[in-house]
Amino acid sequence: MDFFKIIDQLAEVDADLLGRFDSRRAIFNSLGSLAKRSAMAASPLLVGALFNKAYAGETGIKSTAVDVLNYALTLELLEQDFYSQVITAGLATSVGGAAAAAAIAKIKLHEDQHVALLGGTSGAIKSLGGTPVSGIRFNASAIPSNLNFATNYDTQLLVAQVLEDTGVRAYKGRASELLGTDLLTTALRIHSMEARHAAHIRYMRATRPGASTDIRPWITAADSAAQTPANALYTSAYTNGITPSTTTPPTPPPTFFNFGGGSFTIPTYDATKPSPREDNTTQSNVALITALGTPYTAAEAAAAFDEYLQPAEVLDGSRAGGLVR
Amino acid sequence: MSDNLQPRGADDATFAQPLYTPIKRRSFFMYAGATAGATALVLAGCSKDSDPVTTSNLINVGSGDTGVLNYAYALEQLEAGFYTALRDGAYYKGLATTSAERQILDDLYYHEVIHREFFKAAITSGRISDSLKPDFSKIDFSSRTSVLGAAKAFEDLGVAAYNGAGQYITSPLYLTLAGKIVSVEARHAAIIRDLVQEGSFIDNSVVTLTTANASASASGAGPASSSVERSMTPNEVTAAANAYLADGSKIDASGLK
Repeated sequence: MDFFKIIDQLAEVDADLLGRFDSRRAIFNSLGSLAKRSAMAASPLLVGALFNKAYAGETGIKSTAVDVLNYALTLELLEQDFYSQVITAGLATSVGGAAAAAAIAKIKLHEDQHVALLGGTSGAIKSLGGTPVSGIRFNASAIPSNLNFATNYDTQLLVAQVLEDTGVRAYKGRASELLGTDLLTTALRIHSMEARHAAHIRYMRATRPGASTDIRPWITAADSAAQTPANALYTSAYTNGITPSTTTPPTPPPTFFNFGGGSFTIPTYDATKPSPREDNTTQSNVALITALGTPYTAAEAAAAFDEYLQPAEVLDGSRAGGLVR
Repeated sequence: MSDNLQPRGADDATFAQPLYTPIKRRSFFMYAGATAGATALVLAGCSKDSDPVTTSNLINVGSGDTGVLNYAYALEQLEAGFYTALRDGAYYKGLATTSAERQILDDLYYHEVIHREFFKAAITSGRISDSLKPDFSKIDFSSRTSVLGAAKAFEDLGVAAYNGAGQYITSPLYLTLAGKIVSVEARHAAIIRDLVQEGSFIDNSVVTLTTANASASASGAGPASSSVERSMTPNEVTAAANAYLADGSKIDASGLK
């Protein structure tokens, strides 16, 4: 099946179609570096999904793949710089010990490789003709001073948990915008790694001397009521959009971001559909506690599902946006 | 984005008969039908969301979004069955009730049973059997090594299966739902691996780290040094999963493509 021939034939029917396909075509052209071009061209269902996406774009899904990838890269760069600072601080080794230091180094390696995969010279964004964002740093001074980020290993682990759990929620929140492209599978394969990171960081916290027995590898309902600065992550607070450093929160909240020459937009926050809290116990209108025959506890029902976040929530000053400088 | 997969009851038809609902699918058919070379496309499109059928003793999960959901349901049945059997086994029963390991295994049991029961409640039309019969005769439930090794295999398999099947979903809501589950499976995999050997929450067997590892280089391999987790095709997954399903309960997911 000749994919491009079909596109051309469609163009005769609908002259506007090619315009709608522009970003998708770019994705297709980039598949050499990301996936198997021939496999996708030969798959009618994927082509069908591509069509769906082109038309779905009419009904309000405006984000292009480059926007989504730059958004992901922003978070990967934030994590990368965060772990750089943790490693430089040395507490993972001096306080945590060899196993902890090895784990932090391993996670940092993954973040490095995700940064390269998305934003590198031959990475996904450049392959699509976009400009990767750069220069994003972790702003340690945004952590409340009483938590002593620079000298308190437990605070560093807490922030790591917040960042990893946020990453999981962020990828989940935008995966559907990549429907019908091979970039979706790549995003999913990063997403599950972030979840493994989050679980291990939580394991590291749970095995610290004097740790709360409430810390689990998964997000519990109790996390939604956790102490600051973690609590906002697990609820669905939305305050003021991104607030780099100490600047006054802009009004209205921005949906356009520019870092190091790369820029991207995110969908406007939809106040009518705030993302579920992590203690959510209803999925797809199924009340997990009561509707499944055997009653389950709220804790188990909430932990069995992770939740997504809207991009505006992720980049909110109360979450990752507040940690960017 | 709505938190809801779909309303239950009144809109059951949307689950089995997507042609009647999403406008974008109607567009797809209209335009596909207008092209001379699109016969294969139309046929493939029409075969979506077929009801599951049993052929040659295999339970076919079907195709389209319902097929993916059935596929996930089958794997969740397998995992839930495993943890149910585990909790009846000597190794688990020998753990102190306050031990961290026992608490973790309890949590995993509850999560997987909830996943299973959720799919049972949510797939209102075209659902496969609710009572797939497992075959865990290869697992020694009195041995920590055997129990945790099997748990690790099941959890890693689950993550790779979801990662590989996301591309076959057409509904954004179902994709998000799968995402909500797969990250919990990944958390399970990580902690089980840490119980087997601390720090092994990720290694080259499931992620392409510095080199593409052989066991991660099936169709789901990522480029070396890309740090993406393994994904597996439905056929690769069922080949592994069917080893733990009894005759008559083995699944065929070849309709997902």
